[in-house]
Amino acid sequence: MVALERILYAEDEPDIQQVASLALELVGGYNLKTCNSGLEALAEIEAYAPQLLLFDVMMPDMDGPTALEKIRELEAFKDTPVIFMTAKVQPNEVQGYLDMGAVDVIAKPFDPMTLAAQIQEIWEKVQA
Amino acid sequence: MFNRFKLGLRGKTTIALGGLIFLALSASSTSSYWQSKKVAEQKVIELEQSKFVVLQHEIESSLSHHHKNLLSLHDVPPVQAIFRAMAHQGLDPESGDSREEWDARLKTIFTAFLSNQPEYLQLRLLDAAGNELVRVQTNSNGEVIASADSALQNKASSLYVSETLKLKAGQTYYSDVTLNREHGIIQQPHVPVLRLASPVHNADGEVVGLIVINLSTDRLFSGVKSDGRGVQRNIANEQGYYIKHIDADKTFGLERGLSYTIQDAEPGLAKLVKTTDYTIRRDIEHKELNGFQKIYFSPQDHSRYWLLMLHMPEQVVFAEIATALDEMLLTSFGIGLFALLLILWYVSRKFLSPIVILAESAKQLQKGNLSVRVDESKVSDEFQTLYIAINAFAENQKQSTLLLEKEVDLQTKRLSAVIDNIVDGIITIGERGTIESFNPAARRIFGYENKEVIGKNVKMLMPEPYQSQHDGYLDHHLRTGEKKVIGIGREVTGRRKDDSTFPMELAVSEVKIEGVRHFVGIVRDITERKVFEQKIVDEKKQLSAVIDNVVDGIITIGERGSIESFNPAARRIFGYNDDEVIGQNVKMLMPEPYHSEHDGYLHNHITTGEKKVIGIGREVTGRRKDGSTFPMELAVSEVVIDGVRHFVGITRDITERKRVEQMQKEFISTVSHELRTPLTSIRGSLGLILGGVTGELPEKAKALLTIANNNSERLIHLINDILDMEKVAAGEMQFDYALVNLTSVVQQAIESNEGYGDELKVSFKLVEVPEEQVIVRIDEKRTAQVMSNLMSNAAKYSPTDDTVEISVSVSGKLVRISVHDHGKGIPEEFKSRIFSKFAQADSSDTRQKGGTGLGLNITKAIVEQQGGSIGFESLAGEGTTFSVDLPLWVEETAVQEPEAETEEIEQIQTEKNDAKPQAYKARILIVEDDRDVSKLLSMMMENAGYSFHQAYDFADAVQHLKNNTYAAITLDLMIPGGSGLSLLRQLRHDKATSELPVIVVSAKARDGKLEVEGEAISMVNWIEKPINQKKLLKSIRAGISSQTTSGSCVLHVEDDPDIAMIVDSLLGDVCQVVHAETLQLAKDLLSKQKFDLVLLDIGLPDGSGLDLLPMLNRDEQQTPVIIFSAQDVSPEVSVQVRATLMKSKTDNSKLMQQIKLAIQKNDAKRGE
Repeated sequence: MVALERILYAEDEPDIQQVASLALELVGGYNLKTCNSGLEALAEIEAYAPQLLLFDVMMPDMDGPTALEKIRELEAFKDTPVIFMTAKVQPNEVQGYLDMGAVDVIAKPFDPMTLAAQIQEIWEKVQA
Repeated sequence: MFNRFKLGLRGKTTIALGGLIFLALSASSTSSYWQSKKVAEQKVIELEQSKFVVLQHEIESSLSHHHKNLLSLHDVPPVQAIFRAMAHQGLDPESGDSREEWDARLKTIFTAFLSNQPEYLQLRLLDAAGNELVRVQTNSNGEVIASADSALQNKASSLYVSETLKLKAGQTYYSDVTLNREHGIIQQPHVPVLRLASPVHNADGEVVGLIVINLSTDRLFSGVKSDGRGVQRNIANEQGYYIKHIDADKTFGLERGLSYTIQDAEPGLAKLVKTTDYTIRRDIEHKELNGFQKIYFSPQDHSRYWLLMLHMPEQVVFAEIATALDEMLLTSFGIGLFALLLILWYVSRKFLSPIVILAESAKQLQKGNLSVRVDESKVSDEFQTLYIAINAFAENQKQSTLLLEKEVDLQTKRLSAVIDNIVDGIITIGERGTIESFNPAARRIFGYENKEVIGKNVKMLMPEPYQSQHDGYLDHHLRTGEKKVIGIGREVTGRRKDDSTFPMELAVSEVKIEGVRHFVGIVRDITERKVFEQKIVDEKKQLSAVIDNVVDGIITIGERGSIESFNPAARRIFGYNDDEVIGQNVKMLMPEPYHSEHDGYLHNHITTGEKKVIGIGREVTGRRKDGSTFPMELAVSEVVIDGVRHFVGITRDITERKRVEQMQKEFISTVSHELRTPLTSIRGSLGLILGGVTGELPEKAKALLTIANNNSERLIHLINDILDMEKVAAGEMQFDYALVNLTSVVQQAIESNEGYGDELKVSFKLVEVPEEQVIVRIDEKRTAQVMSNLMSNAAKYSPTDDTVEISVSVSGKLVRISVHDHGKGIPEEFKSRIFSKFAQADSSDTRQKGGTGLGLNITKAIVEQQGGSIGFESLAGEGTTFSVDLPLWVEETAVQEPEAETEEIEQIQTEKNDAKPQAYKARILIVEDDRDVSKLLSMMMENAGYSFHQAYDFADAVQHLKNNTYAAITLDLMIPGGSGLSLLRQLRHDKATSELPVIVVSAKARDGKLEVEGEAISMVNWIEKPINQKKLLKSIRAGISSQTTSGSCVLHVEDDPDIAMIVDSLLGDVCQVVHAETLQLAKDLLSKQKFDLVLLDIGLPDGSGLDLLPMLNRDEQQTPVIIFSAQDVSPEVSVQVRATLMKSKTDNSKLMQQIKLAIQKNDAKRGE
């Protein structure tokens, strides 16, 4: 069981960024790299080499799913687990995310106090 | 006339037959006559022929005889001697005698000869010079005289001499037959002589002389004779002169100077003589048979002959047969006549009479007399057939005529009946329009009497302008023969007597009767029909208006899918014109794949009757003319018109609606996203702060932030709920099914909600769980949501510091989660609205308690989606229990995965309701102090497949109940440590066991003897509440029926007069009902009287009705009791009784039956 340490986090809303970072870094103790958009995530991923991707869906210039698609083209990250965090959780949308290869979807708004635990749980599930 | 006729046929027949017969007879007799004649003639001819032959022979043989005589004379020695003597100077050298001697000798011989032969007239010897040497002759006296020498002549000139001398020895010359002459004068009477001469030759062979015999032919020709009858036989020589003739004058014509030959006498024959030697023939000219026979008398000279001539007159020929023939003729005629008469008579009788009779009968028949009959017994054969036929024919005709007459009569009557009774008016008019007949219907229609119209012009029945025109029409038709109305039904206007007009259907036809032309008009008052037609037209218009103007497309197709109608809306929707689609297959309006599949669907439906689309509205895709597709709502129904099947499709272009829906979805999605995004931050921040991540907070700050956090939570929940609602409404809520242990889900939910509960100072307690795992197939998250909802509700409405009790129990196929609070309960008026949206009992509560009011609505949806059901019980003042039933996961029969169609949910619901509970090992608690009875009961339970616990007293029972769940309890009311009844009450009171089926069992025998069979154990049946009247009645009746029904007496313990009245009316006809309004009253009555049944209301003013039970049990005969509580008739009911009891005598098997039934019923009820 590999410990989860590095999470690449893409979210365009700064408020939410801050809350999530706090939730994950302070509460969860994870190492977080926050990006403002899918594009930035794409740029940062190789350097950062995350274990887990936490992407918002609705982002300007490149949305989460597209970023994921691009990332999947990269050899090193084609199997990196992805969690989508979004308010767009219509049933078909959720299924869509899963079809895309996401391991899970966390709905917004989330409980910051339990976010880390949720992530951990998902990580452990993936590892299994 | 009859006589003449008869005569005619008879006469004709007579003549004919007579003639025929006569002819026949004549023919035959004539024929035979002629035959006979011919035969006779033939015979005669033959006879004469033979006679000829005979004569010929006679003559020839005579001649031959004479020839022989001559030769013998020739051979006498004197002959030679004479010539020798002559040659030797008168002396015969041989004999030496003289010529004279020898002459004398010869004379002697000659004389002797002649004397012997009278027919020889002369015998002579002549020398070669023709000198007679010796002559001996017979003179007319008959003396034979030898002529003296002086008398001797020289006959050298005679032909016979010269001819004879030419002959050879032995030959004889026959001379012509001539008349004998004396000294050159014909001797009279005539003596025909034939001279035979033969030459004499001397020894040297030289002819020296001849010997001559003069033969009188009389004897020679004696055979040739005629007779007096007319038969002539004559002889003629080759020159044709008769040498013998019946008429002597006709003989020797040549010598006598008469040239009378046969050529003269009989030229015909004479001719024939040249050609033939013989003939006998019929000479018709001379009416005789004649003929001749040549006799060649000269052997040397074939040219010389005699003709035997025959003439036989006919009479002589046929003389013999003449009479015979005559006789024959006469006889035949006689016979013939007789036969004729006989035949005539026969024919007349047998043939003519019948024919005559037949003819007469036929005539009669022809005249029309069909009664004539002929007596068929008087005839036979074909006549009989004819007679019978005629009779039959006459009879048939008679019958036919009768029938015909009857028929005609009938038809006439019918026709009259028709005309008189027909509803339509029948009017006949003449050529000029004059009314000739006017049937009753016409009278009724027009309002006229016959006499008012007959003879008048038909135009009186018409209003203007027809009236003025009618004459013209008639005229026109008569002239041109053009049919304007004739034969064609028309709608016209008629005018009644009262001048009112009315629409009328008129059909006119033309008839010619005996050369006169009439018109027959059939008139129908169609006022009503017109009205009706108008109605139809109006309706049709309306319908058309609807169809044409309705917004939805209406398309009808036939069985094979060909489009039959296409309303304007459809045209608009699809963009086609009528003519572009009518007749085409409806699949042209569909895109693929529906296009290809449609024929199959149609066919499938028609052959199997399966409805895939029929009757069910569906969303499909339509295809417009321009090829574009669009979403379409389609409702198809099937109609059968006149046996032909059509389908009607109503199409609605729901592009717009879809768009709106889509927009809605998107809106919701967007909005929710937009709303959630800031909320995320808010909640996140607040959460973190309150979570202590940022460090210690001042109290006030904490309080305020808590407020903020709570409200943001609330907001989040609200948004979620709204979205959930939308999802539920759209049927889009997605479920993530898994097999889970419900118990753990519930436990988890309790844990999750603990915090919430703590806030409200309410604790959650899981008071009951099944021992085994409870596997269900659910969406864990959603179910957790349900739990949260229920628990939060319970908590909200619980009093402070109270406990919300949660239990999980299994019964049958279902597992029940119960959430019980001790709040004030759900108000009655709210109970019906509880699951609807935004429903909250009291808005004040909302603000106090929080919540959106959406919870239960969503909860219900979720529960039901998962195949479960939700219900509640609430008593004002006693709290509320919400129960969620979910189906257990059973391996064999998997619960259907529900789809997002609402109709399927309902389907599952009904399935669940109908489902029979499976047999499972339910656990029964046996509460019984008597060990034996307890054992007995336990055995019974075991046999029935139940597991059991045994409790022997009150406390034991309570303990058991506390620790375990049971499917049912058997309860002995008489147990130590407390009454069974109080236990019952307790059971009822306890929420957990309030629904537990209790079967009260009392053993009869108290002295240890246990009667197992028969009616040892009486039991109390458990009837669940709420009672309904029907059930009550049924059980009452059942209770009573175990007793005698007649004269039954029921004690009804009830304080409510209304109910008393109800029961009275229910039972009044079955038994006598005695009322007791109070417990005391009831007790009094019971002590005095025995009842067949007691109806017991528990809620009595002076106590509980249950207290009566011991009294009832004490009796030897246990009175059946039915305990019931009245239904709620007002919201503020004081007591609700949870149970009814019925006591009845029964046996063991029935007991088990009741237990099973009770359990089953309970299960089913809990499953609702």
